[in-house]
Amino acid sequence: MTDGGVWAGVVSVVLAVLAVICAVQVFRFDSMARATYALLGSLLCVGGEVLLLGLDYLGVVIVLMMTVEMALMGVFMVMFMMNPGGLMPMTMVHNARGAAVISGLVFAGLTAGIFLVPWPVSRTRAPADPTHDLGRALMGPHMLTMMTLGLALFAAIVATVTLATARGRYGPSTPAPPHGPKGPEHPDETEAPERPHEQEAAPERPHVREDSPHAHSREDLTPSHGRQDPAHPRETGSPAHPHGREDPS
Amino acid sequence: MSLDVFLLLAAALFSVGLYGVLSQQSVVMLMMGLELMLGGVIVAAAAVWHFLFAGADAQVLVVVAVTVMAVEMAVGFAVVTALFRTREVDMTDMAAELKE
Repeated sequence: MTDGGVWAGVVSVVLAVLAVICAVQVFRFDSMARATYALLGSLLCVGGEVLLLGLDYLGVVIVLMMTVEMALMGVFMVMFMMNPGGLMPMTMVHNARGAAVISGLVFAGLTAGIFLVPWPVSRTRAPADPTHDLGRALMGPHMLTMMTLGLALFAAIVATVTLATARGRYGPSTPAPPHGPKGPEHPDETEAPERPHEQEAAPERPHVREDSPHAHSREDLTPSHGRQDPAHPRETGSPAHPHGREDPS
Repeated sequence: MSLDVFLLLAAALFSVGLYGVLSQQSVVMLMMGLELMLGGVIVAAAAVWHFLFAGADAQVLVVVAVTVMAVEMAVGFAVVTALFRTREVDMTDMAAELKE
């Protein structure tokens, strides 16, 4: 093996170890931003592995796409997650032990398959320009695949815009808050010191029934997790909703 | 480096992602697990291309996996946005009305 081959092997092992470590850290970090960066690191290592395997074009595509995708994911993390900076301990898992057992069994099964299957020996040499090969395949025998992928991407664009726009069919359906155009008349605005008193009557969550099989999730989300903080106006049913929209009336 | 090492990496990524998909309550974290699983598929397809079949089929599989990642991320975030707008829900346990 040449020096280049040895170095490629070393880099490949390092990237593989880094990819797995970053993947595990995704679900261990408290900070959502760090989890996003860990996922980015793992997927960049995947792109590096693809580059080392000789698929230059696809490796670069993966690296560029994952970088932009994780940047977008970071924005959504800050938008939706209650603890983007990881300033408080946070655990948002259900059935973690069962999930660990299932994933461990899957890993064991896949590993057994890897070492027990008699893999064939390759009799074909890698093409000099795999990108050229890929292009000819997509424009030739795999044209149907390419057309299907194009339609899927187009459908994804339409579905994304339809779902995400606020004025569409899936826009806000909650009734208008009972206050006039001058703004909410909730005591929050005039009696700020009384907020702790409100919190006692607040924690009723409108979308989780007491007899619901999902009622246990409320216990999982203790105030230390940040999401179920009774002081959060979402829980109070207050018209002064932080994410609320203006009363159209 | 041999095919086994790359397939082991792929299996590890797939399993870690599967753990995330099964255990996470946040929809966004769940999608992170899906991304990891698809990353494992990409590594496996690239390794099969390099070590076993140097034709274009494995490359096409990588293209399909990358496209699925993009579609999953876009539609997933759109669904989360729609859910959050209408129900203020971003957790899987709270978006299970169809089970009731």
